[in-house]
Amino acid sequence: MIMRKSNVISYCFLFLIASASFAQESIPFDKKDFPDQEKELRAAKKNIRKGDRLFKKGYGYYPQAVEYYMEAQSFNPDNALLNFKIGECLFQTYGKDKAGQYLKRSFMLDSLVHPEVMLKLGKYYHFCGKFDTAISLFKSYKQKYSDKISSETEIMLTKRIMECKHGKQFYDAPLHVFIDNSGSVVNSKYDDYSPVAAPEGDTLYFTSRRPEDEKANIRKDVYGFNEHGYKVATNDSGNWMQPVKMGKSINCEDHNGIIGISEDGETIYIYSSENGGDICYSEQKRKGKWSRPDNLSKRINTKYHEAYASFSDKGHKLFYVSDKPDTYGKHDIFDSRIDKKGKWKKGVNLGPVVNTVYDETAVYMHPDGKTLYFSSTGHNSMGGYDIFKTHIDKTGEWCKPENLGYPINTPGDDLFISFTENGNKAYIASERLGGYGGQDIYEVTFPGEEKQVINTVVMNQVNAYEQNLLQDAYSEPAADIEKTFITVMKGIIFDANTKYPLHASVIITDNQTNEILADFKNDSASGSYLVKLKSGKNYGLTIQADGYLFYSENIDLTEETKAKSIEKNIGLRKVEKGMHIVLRNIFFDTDKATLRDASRAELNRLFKIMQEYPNIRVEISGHTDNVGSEEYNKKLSERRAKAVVDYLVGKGINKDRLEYIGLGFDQPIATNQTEEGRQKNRRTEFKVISD
Amino acid sequence: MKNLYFFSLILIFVLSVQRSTGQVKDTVIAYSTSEEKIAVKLYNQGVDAMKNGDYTEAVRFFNQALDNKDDFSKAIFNRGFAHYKQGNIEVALQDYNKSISAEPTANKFYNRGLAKLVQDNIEDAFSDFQKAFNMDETHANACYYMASINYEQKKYSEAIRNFTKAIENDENYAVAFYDRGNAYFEVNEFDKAIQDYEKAIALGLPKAYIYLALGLAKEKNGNIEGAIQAYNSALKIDSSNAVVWNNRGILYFKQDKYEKALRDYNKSVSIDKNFAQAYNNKGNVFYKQKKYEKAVKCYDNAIKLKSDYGIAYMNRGICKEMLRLPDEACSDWEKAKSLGVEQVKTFIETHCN
Repeated sequence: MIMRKSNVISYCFLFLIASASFAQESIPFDKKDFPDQEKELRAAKKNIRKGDRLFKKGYGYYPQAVEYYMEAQSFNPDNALLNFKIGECLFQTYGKDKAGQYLKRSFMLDSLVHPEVMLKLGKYYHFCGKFDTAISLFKSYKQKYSDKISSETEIMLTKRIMECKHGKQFYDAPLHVFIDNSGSVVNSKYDDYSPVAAPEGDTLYFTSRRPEDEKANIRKDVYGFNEHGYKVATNDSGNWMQPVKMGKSINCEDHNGIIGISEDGETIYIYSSENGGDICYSEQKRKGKWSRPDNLSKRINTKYHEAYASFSDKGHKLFYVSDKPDTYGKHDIFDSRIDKKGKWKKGVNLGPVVNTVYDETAVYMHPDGKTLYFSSTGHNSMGGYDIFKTHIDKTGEWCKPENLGYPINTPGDDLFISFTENGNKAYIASERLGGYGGQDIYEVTFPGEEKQVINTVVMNQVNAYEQNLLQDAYSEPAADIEKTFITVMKGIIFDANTKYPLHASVIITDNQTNEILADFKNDSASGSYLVKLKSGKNYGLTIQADGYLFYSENIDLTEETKAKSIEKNIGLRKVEKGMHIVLRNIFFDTDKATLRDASRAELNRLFKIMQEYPNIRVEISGHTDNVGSEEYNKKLSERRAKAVVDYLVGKGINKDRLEYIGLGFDQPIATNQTEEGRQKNRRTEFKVISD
Repeated sequence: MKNLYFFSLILIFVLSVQRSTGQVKDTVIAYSTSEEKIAVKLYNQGVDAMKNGDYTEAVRFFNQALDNKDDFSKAIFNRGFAHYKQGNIEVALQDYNKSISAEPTANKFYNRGLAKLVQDNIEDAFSDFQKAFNMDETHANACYYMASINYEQKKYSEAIRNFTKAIENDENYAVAFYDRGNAYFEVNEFDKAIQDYEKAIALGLPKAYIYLALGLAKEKNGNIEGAIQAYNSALKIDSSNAVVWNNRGILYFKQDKYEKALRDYNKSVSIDKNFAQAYNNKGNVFYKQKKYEKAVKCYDNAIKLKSDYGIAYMNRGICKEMLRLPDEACSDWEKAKSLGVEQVKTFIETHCN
């Protein structure tokens, strides 16, 4: 039933050149190399001869041959040819993993010990997925022996190189699937293959070339022991129990295998080696009891090799494999339908899109009834058999088969696929690195798309304010006493008429608060006075003496930035007709006639005079600078004068004693060309008009 | 604004110290009592002590100044400031309150806002910053702190508006540029965030954390190389910043440079052995390298350090699946789900029935 990779090599050729030029490092089994070990040498040579005889018999005898070769190897591990033979035997049978060390050793000892060393080592590296090394060995081999190799070998080498290139592509983009060896309970060191999953999910049928008895020495063909069908089930914990060989009703021929199962699991399809290989079926009569296999159909089974059975269309359509003469290569895939009479029609080749000049086998129709799986050494295989899938497109034609990719497929043989009912898992057979020997059953789990792990970026954006909270507060700076500027005002107070010094009161008012800051008398003898005022305030200075009209001065030091000294001699006038004073401490809002609070102290002084001299009549006149029209200024000055009168009337002074007049800029007392002059001109005057 | 004088503090008291006694020719008027002079001197000593960072001494001087002049507003305010600097926030607040009742100013409200912010009294702090701003619309710092509170409250558009006001009032306000960058980052305006971070750096604020933020924003903008350069600059300033190593590792990971990523994560955990995230990320490198057992150990560490680390549970589950331990994988995914990791839901649905 099983097609191994074809490595038909003339081993006679190998033996012919075995005695040819050994490299220096290779030690022959020769007396002169082992002068004192004649007996052991003889035994080693005898083992080699025994091994050679088994080697010649074919693959099935390679494991035995290796046993003899290893005996000789333990005596002389440095013989290139012996290492090559061991490597070859292991590589061709159940020890591909181990073959590498002997092939490499042989190559190192003498790369020319046999033309095949380079080729076999290339195949070994190919099997291991070391594609670049394999390609260079294949190319070197082709170049070195270009005049000796056959056209078939050349084609094989080209195919191998192409397979390596495919392999590189598949290895670069591995599938996200889990491949697990079904374990040592299911698999043996012999070939275990053709897994067929039963619908119930916990049972698996497969075929194995394991001997019934390890000591049995019956090898019916070059592949080793005969193949038979087995059944294995899981226990309650989900672990596989010991496989059980199917009964004699199933395993009734030299070679039998389980090759398919019906949807309900009640019919199994069996390969029988009779008639060149036929497809049979058996029905379950009661639990575990199967009927004797019947031939599926004479129209399907020919004298050629037919195998595998998989169905679609509710069991009305069959897919199988045959190597009958009308194939494109070795085995091809055929389909067949049940006719009206319920019989299978003659099989029809699926055509050249699916079938190639190479070998197609192990056909399996997915339970979806659309996707056809099969194994092939053609198409874009990466080595040996790979599993492919295809389906019928809208035009009714088979699509170009798609390689399932690595790691389902490997450079070794990967065959058979059988899905479990839920589709999350499948079984394949494969000969790959790490197995128990030969082909093993593997479980393929499809976990969906590759899951992406997530990194944690740490934002850690520092909030700067938290770090600056303490730095960002304000504090008050030092208070600098020395930077206060003093204005000194001094002079003499005298009678304006007689010029004699007067003993008068000096009153200093804070115009902002109307608070009297100081009230003192000047020097009576000299009439001198002196005040020191600190910058930063607007002061009102008033000088008054009994029987005299007061004198007022506004000293605005709000913006003062330097120390200064003012000398001011002040003449006071008696209260009499025609006498007038400028009221320096009466203030109005800009362009308005509204009296500011700062004016109150001065206004109260006026009120006091009006009380003290109840017979006088006075005129309050308003004056402006020359900014603005004459009419405007006259009206403004008049309203301002009236505001003063209104204040006094409001305090209880008879209005008949008061007159007001707005003079605008008719009577300037200073130039209007300077700000200082203009400020002097903006004033209110108090004039006694009768006493 | 910062150096606001209180002119009212230097009240001028004018009184005659020498009365006319017949022969007196000048009348001398003094303007300050001796107690006031002493108070000012003590106050200034307090200010000097603050300049030297000796706030305890400063408080002592301000207390003495206030003994001589109990309504010395400046001294009250500065005493509050000195208490604040010492972390005596409650006492500081008492002084600020007194000072504000005597005469409210923008700076006084602002300072009180800071003190309240330290106490996490966010609402009152915001209200004080708002009052400071109302009194002085050029108060950049008040705008800045209003914005910072907006940011904390995740009101990013308002934060951006207030940071912008702060910057309009002080175009060299480096920290405001940085923080506005953070606010832009939060609303996914990464170009603007990058611009602000770069401005903050140009204004001479070359702190490692700004380069870290710049790296994050550049990464978000898809500029991996630019982000790596930003992290390189951060590491030049401070090579002991475990977070920067971690984040640079992630960028290398994104570039499939797993060995470089691993080196960065190793550096990160060597600086901070409790850095759960770096362990998780290190696990991810091993996962990519198909070293699943090693990866699981890293996730174990991460989970040990941070028991609510949902992502690490999810990642460990993925590795457990790869190790063909489906039950353990499902258990990890269930835990991740309970910790709010959405991604695991489909895993559980598909694999954990």
